[in-house]
Amino acid sequence: MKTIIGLEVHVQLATATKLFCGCSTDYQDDNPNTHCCPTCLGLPGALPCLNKRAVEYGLRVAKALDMKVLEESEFARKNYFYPDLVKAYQITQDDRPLAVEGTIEIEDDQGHEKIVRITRVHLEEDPGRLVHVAGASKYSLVDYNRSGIPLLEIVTEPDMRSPQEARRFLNKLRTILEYLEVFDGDREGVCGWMQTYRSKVQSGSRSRTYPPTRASRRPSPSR
Amino acid sequence: MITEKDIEHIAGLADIGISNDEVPEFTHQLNAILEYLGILDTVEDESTPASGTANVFREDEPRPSLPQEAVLANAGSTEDGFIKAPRVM
Amino acid sequence: MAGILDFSPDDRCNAFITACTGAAFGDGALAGIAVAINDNISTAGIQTTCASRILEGYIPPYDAHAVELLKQEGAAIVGKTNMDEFGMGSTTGTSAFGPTRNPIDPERVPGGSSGGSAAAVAAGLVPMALGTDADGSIRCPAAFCGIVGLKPTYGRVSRYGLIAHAGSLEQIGPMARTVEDVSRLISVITRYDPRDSMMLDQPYSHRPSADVSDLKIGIPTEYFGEGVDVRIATTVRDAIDVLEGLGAETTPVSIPSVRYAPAACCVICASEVSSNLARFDGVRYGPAVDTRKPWHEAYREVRQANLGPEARLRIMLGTLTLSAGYAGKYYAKALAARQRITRDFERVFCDVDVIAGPTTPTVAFRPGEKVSPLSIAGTLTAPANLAGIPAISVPCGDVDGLPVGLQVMGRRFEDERVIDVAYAYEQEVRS
Repeated sequence: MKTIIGLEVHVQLATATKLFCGCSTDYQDDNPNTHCCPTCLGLPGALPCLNKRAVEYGLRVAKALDMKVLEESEFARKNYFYPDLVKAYQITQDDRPLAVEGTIEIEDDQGHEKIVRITRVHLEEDPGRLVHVAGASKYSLVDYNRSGIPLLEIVTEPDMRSPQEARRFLNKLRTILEYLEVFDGDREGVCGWMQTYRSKVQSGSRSRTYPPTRASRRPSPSR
Repeated sequence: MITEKDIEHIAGLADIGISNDEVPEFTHQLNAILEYLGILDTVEDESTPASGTANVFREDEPRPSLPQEAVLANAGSTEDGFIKAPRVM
Repeated sequence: MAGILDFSPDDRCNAFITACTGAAFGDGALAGIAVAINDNISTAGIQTTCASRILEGYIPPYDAHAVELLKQEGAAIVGKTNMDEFGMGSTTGTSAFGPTRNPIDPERVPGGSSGGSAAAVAAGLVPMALGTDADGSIRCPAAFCGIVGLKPTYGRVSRYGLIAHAGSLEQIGPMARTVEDVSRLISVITRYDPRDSMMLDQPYSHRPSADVSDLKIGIPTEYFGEGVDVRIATTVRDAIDVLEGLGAETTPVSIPSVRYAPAACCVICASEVSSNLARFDGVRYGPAVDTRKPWHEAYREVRQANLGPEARLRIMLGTLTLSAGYAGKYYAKALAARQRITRDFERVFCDVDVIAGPTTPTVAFRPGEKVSPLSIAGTLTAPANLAGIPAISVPCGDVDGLPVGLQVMGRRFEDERVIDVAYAYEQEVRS
């Protein structure tokens, strides 16, 4: 059996405001639903307006990872239903990302240099936060303070061969992001750093990818 | 042609409830629309989709958020500053 | 000068969903003037329903940009007007709060979707109103009710706060009894708003001029052919003759791609609707979702009970036209048609300054009398939305006592010119 690991890392960018509105991202010690406006609440009629610094931070990462910045990238809607998703779609560059084809160098398990290829980086907004009430109650509680927080999704090729390599990759990536001052490790807590393993465990001819990504219906233009 | 099964599937994707007795009527109406939309088959695709859009940015400067009461005011039910939603688990 | 306007309309046409009996006003260009607002434009503290049960009781915590500007200029916001549910329709008959009747003939529809605004103006309840137009929803009711209505250039008026069903096509625009009042209203609502990324900073500051002596008017054959009531065609042709009499030159033009407009508009609207209306789930606003049920079941229940059949049909259509197997056949083709229409207009506008024709192919009809293909309306109005150009409808006579609208379309950001042409016509026939 062979372990093959690719990663999708969601990095919360250290901007002062959310991706599409002027609400402050500094909500960690505050009460629920106190950093919200018509836009990040998805109130009818509100419109998104793109945070320039989030794009600059994304580009900074793209340059640092020696990526090809695309002439045109596009925000589009990823439609799906979930109670933490205020508009029933996420605005994301999923389809036409900010940049593609980069690299990060790490040490492999034998201590040799190894290149991990970066597939793409793109910007997207975070949904709100669900608190699942335990016990007999059968409902969720929602806090939309997180809704609209800018995320940079960094996707790698399946180039890692052990959990130790993946750990070294993440440490290196984190160091780079902190040096670039686009990521604030102190804010980490619940929300700073999320990683999804797209690891493939291959045995013989069978392979499995997990976890499944969240259901998406279809893309459509964001305006 | 869209079948009644298609309609049920689409309604499911769109999370709109439809009752069994509505299915035939919606199927009929949707097929009539699709027939009318057949005219689009004759549109020749032009190769250059000019978007005609430009970058518009907002500076990263915080602006006041709504007071919590205003955020919660329209919600059907709330609890301790949270908005109540159906359970997803 | 500031105060409270006492507003108690004798609303026989069901033009209003919400009337504000005491409306505050201030100083400014519209000081003390009663303005009605289409009920899909957000008004802080005043219920905003889009004529749908799914927003019944929703009180926005913020004003649309256009409403903010009206208030800054002293206008009194006296109420929210009836419309087709979410703007989908051309009769104001799909409103969850009952249909609006045409003040000219209460047996007939006022047109739509902004039929409440048109009826409120035509009935004399308010001098001016804001409507919204994604496929003709300002111009059609303006024509049916005998008033003036302008769909501005796309990007001229901020959409911030407009609960658009099809944001790539829709604009807020002025409706009034005279071209001059339409001009006054548009000059207030075009101030730049950085919150609408599709807006350009080109405020309208213009006084209408009746000089059309050097104007070249294109007469599109497609606007006078099959499907257009001959008596309307004749009436509109006579109106264009009036402009010729004032020194304008006319020339026949052809815009063949407009035959795709209703279908393209239908697909684009439905596609956007399926995404835009997905957020109405009864969690954050609107009739409360049952939080004790599993979430999909609870969502479906609240959406089935509170979205009307037309809205649900269009949501399903849009879900289909964007879905993997069908997007190429419908959505992509509709975008291609839109591009062709845009280019056809650009080509014609190289030779002429404005294009003139009827606003609607018929006069106001009785409810249920004209169930056109699936409430697909806007044969003559949708092209301007697809091309993003300004278009005005101005009353130009009648057929059997029912008003007829002359539609004037112009180049992008030449709203001033279409207003001038409408003004020249109006001044000439009034004097």
